[in-house]
Amino acid sequence: MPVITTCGLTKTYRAKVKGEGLGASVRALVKPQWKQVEAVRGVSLTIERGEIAAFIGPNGAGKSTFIKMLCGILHPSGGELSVLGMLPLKDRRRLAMRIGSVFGQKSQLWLHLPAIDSFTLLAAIYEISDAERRRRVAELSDVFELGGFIQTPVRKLSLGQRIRCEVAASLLHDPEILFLDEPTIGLDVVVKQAIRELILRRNRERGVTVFLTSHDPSDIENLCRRAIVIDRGSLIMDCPVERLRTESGVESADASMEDIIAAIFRKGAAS
Amino acid sequence: MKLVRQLRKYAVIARVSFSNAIAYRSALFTRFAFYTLFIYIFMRLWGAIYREGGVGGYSYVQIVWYLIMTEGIAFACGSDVFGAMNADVKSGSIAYQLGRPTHYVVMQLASSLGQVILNTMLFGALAVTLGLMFVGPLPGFGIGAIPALALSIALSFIQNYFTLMTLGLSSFVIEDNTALYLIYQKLNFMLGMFLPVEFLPDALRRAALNMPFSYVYWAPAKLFVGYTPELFRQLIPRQAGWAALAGALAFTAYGAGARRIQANGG
Repeated sequence: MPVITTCGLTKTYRAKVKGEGLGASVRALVKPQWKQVEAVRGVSLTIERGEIAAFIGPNGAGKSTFIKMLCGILHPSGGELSVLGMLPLKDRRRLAMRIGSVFGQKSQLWLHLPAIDSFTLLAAIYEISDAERRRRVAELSDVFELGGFIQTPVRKLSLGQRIRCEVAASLLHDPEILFLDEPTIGLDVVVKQAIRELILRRNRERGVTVFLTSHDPSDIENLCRRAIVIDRGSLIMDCPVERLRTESGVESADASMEDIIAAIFRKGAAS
Repeated sequence: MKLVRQLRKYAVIARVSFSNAIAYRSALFTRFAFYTLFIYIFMRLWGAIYREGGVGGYSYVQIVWYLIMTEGIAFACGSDVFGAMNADVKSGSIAYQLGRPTHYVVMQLASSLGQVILNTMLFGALAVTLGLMFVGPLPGFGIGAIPALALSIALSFIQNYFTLMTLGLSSFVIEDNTALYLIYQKLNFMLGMFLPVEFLPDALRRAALNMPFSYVYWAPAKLFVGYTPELFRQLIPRQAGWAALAGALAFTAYGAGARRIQANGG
């Protein structure tokens, strides 16, 4: 049963352009120049319940823009989309109750307070009763091993500890879909592995659908079953992760996932 | 039931923001020191002016309490909402907050409220202590005026808060909106915070009474130093009107801005 469906999803926006030098600055003041940027161009895809899909592409490919449209944050310029049977923009707040998101570099925790206080706040935002909050926090704290630092102000946590709290926070309201935008950015190998295991466990035990963007090939290799590749806003590949090697055209059997993804990006850039 | 759930949500946000405000103890003590220093300097200044005689119908004791009240409101209810809105809009962070089941404007208000409540309690105690220490009790002020004063201060906070929020949200359309903020601050300062409106030349005074700026500081301070039921009936409807207008502007600015959000991703 599909939980995400997009058909010809498009996003264009206007960006101001200005030439070099003082003259150009004055001209831009009098008569600003704009250019149309096509961030996402007609992307059609379907994600089934319980899938873990990697959404990959080079910087500026349109990945985050695409996710923001799925979350109801951005207005699509064209096409159709449905998330959990809802129109994200129209049902944004209702949808927000059923999806979770981690945007790697944007914290949802209050820096000067312990994570436990942020959990209380998020539980209130997601209208979770006190008894249920206590039960879920205990469960997440156990699964994510937060016990040692859940009462430490977030600003004093290591990046790895903070990200564990971020992912736990995004799961507090028991979302059906988890959007992870570069969740392992800046983490060391051991912590990355721990985060991946936690996500896999959540997917296995609760059937949470995971939609992940990452620049880390290991994330894709170890976590995802399906890879969706986007470049310059267009969908260029959608296949099981194990088929990426064949699709990339890399012949060497020793080629790493990093080499394979780089080859796909180069292929995309050349086309 | 739905309303109760919504109210509970924002009450918890205010409570967490209250805890967060307590975490900034050193910042609070620095503000205490500045407030005390500020009151002391201006008290001495007004002392020098009042040696020549009374000014604008205010006695020396009244003008010092007036100053304590206006500065108290500025220190306790002043909010960094302009800076926060500006930063949220310019960095695109506002987009991420749209993905939550809350109303952005109400959430911001609730999260400022915790800090304002804490500040009001602490600065209120400090203000009363300083006033009693420097010039003694305010003649004619009775406990019965406190509810009226509390309402006036609350309206002042709402008006100021939503005006600052609207100015912050103007960064959706104006790249550098700092000038608007500075103009607003200066108008507030000259039309009530530093000088009672009665001290202004006639034409300016009349204009000031018909503009919103004086109702942020002058109205509650005037009500404090010269409370009469008649003054209350005169000032509160005007304060309420300006506060409602400021609120409507903030919600409209947010609604228009949210439609314009075009975060570039990445």
